[in-house]
Amino acid sequence: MSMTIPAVRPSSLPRVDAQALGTLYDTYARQLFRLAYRLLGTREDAEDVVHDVFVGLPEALAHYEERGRLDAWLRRVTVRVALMRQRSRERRREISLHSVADVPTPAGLTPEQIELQAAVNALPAPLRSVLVLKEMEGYSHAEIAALLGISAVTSRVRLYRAIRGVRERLEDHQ
Amino acid sequence: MNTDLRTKLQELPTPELPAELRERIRASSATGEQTILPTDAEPHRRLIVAKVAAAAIVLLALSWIAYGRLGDRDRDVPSTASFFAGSPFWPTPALSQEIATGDTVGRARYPLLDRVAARALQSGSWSYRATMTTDGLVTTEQGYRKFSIAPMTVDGVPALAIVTSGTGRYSPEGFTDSLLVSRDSLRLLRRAKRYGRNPGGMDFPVTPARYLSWRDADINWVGSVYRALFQLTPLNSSWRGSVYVPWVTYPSRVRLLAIDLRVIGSERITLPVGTFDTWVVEVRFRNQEAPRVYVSKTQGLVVKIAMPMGEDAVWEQVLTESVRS
Repeated sequence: MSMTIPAVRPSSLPRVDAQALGTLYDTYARQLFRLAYRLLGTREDAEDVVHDVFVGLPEALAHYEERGRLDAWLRRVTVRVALMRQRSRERRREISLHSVADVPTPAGLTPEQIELQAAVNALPAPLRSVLVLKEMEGYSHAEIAALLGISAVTSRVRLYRAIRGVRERLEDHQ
Repeated sequence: MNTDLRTKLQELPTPELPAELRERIRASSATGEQTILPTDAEPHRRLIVAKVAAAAIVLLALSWIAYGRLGDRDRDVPSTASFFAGSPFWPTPALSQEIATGDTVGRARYPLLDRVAARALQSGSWSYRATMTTDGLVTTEQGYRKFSIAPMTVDGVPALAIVTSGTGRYSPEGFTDSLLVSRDSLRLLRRAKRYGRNPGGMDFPVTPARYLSWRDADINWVGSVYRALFQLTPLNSSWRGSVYVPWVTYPSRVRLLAIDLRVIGSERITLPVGTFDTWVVEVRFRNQEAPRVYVSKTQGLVVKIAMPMGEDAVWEQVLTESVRS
């Protein structure tokens, strides 16, 4: 989905009220939640990311320039918040409490999807981020490079290693 | 990527958006809770950065002008030509003993290599293949190097021609660097450099002195110093040594760059040209990580040079051909 919303330009709407925020939530929360979940692998973390994004949105929108699509801007912001949370989580070593491969996955998955989800969850965070952004969210390597602060070549290499890691794990379980 | 795998990844379901999340956000907003989002750089911030950069450039330009007017400090420093005139073959492991200057970049950590056996240099030619490998996966060709030592005479004086040639990223059309040195003292008699389409190159001695850059030095450390030095210097497991090489950053300004070398281990290396038991020599300058040189234990032959390039890449030269004459 894509749309521009001149209504949130600072000149026309300097303050985003509760109703406007509710409209934005109804429009974008689902896709942003999905994006955060794919990046972080847990429902709780994805909830927190969406929470932080929408709580910070009124202030952030005051500086938003309508130079691109709002949904693309929101997705970039969500990716950054998710990556910040990921780094924070790694610093606190939360992930060491359990294997990332054992993180609960959504109900209703086929056995093949469970294996695939586990293989993605088992990837190191840097590889998983590139895999999600490139193959599941459709970002270009240049965009990923800008988001992650790496080179486009590094992004390609990480994607290669991520795909190889997923395939090896899937083969191990066959 | 396999389209099938991509499709399967995109079809992986995600949990439903929790119904209570909207209420949680509303409650947080109502209590005045705030988060600062990492948004794109704001325009006015970019403007400030641009202004600061412009001011820095102006300041730099003024400093440069002032430096030029106060250039007397360089008056006593020997010119490039006279600097080279007093040295053995360039760059040289014994250079620091002949040049009395305090203008050094870094201090040598280990005993200076001020004694080398000139006669020990053996004639022959050695070819190397250069590559760049990123994250152990992506390898790109970086040209070749050829290093040769041959006996000759210069104006009746027994001499050696030490020639490094090759191609590379900065010289795709090839370069040749020839050092003619006295066979007895290794003192430089003549030097000629040629880069690609630049037939003029550089001859020794050169008047007026021209600018040299780190690229000149880099090529010659790799091309001559390691290969010649390790033929002349027997290594062992506790070997340490430092050299100074000239770093000419301005026609009238010669600085000496300290390079610290030490054996950090041994390794058996198998290459297409053969298997070698080598000493692994770590090379450091200005506290930066620099090449590791793998030197064969029996012949003092450099069989591999590996240089880290940033976090994910390594630049390598490996021996592809060795001909002793």
